[in-house]
Amino acid sequence: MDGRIGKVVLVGPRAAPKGAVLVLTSADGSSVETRPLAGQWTLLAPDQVIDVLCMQERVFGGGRLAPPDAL
Amino acid sequence: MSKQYDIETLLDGIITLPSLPHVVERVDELLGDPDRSLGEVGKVIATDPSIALKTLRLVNSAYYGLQNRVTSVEHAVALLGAKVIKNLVLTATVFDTFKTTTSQMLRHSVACGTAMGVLARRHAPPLSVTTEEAFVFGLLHDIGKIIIEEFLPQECAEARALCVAQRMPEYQAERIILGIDHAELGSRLAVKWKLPPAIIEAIAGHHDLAKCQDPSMLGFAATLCIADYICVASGFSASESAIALVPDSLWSAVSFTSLDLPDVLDAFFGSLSSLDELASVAGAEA
Repeated sequence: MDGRIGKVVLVGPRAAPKGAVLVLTSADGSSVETRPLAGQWTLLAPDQVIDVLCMQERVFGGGRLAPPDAL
Repeated sequence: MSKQYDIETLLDGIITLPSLPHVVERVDELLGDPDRSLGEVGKVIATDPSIALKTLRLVNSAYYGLQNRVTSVEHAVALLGAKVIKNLVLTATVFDTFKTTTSQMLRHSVACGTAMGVLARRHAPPLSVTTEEAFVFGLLHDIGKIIIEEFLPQECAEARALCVAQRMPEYQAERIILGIDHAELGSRLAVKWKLPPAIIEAIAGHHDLAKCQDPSMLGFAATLCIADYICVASGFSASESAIALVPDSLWSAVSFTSLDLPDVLDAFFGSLSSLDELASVAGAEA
């Protein structure tokens, strides 16, 4: 975003809506901005949204989905 | 050493596509005859007690959420309609025609059917299929993988080893090892079984929209690809291959945006409670 690199960090369960943040780091690494992901969906491609939500469900989903071995 | 096949050579001796289960064929005939009654559909299913029992288990599963237990196929047909029952019988019997179906494949297929149902229900503009019809798309989308495993076990093992070694999706490894992929084989089976054109085209194009011969069916293939992606990303993959990426053209084909997805995913995860039950019935021997 604006030339900054963003990483999505999961911070809570899927049941707590959209509990993830977008961490934006400036190109030189001197500044970091954190935004709730809930308002930033349009910055992500659809398959990235699926990956984030599925990862949340696997990690925080109340045990319905078994986490893959790699986690 | 693997061989490069073309589909006609494979189907001309190496692979014998199984016939559609007789009961499904008969139910299909009855549905196409306006002079036949729903009661006759129920009677046809009831002629095979094991299939009737599996059908009733599906009707009474959490997926359908019926308040009262259904104890006869005739009652189920009257309650849900003949088309839904036909799809139930297909679900109950389709995996019986193969010997090599794994529980992992069953769970993936049922999860994909569930995702297709959610997408059909929520996506705008809606697909012109009911939730139950959409379920069959997902259930059958990878049936070509079972055919490959059953008739070409050595090549299947090579393709899977290549998937793991190169981190590539299974359909790409199949093309390298065999010269064809499971989507092509699965669509040929769907043609043989005289399934609706939408299912045939969706299976053919679920990894590559260019394989759809009818442009009006692109939406089905694209939606099936997204349903497949959702399942694999959720941990319900059919094998250990890498996840197949969804190309941008595909999202455009179904007008899906990032904003549509949180609700879709919520509905999908909310529907998974019946997954093991459905997979268990679909995979139980009739």
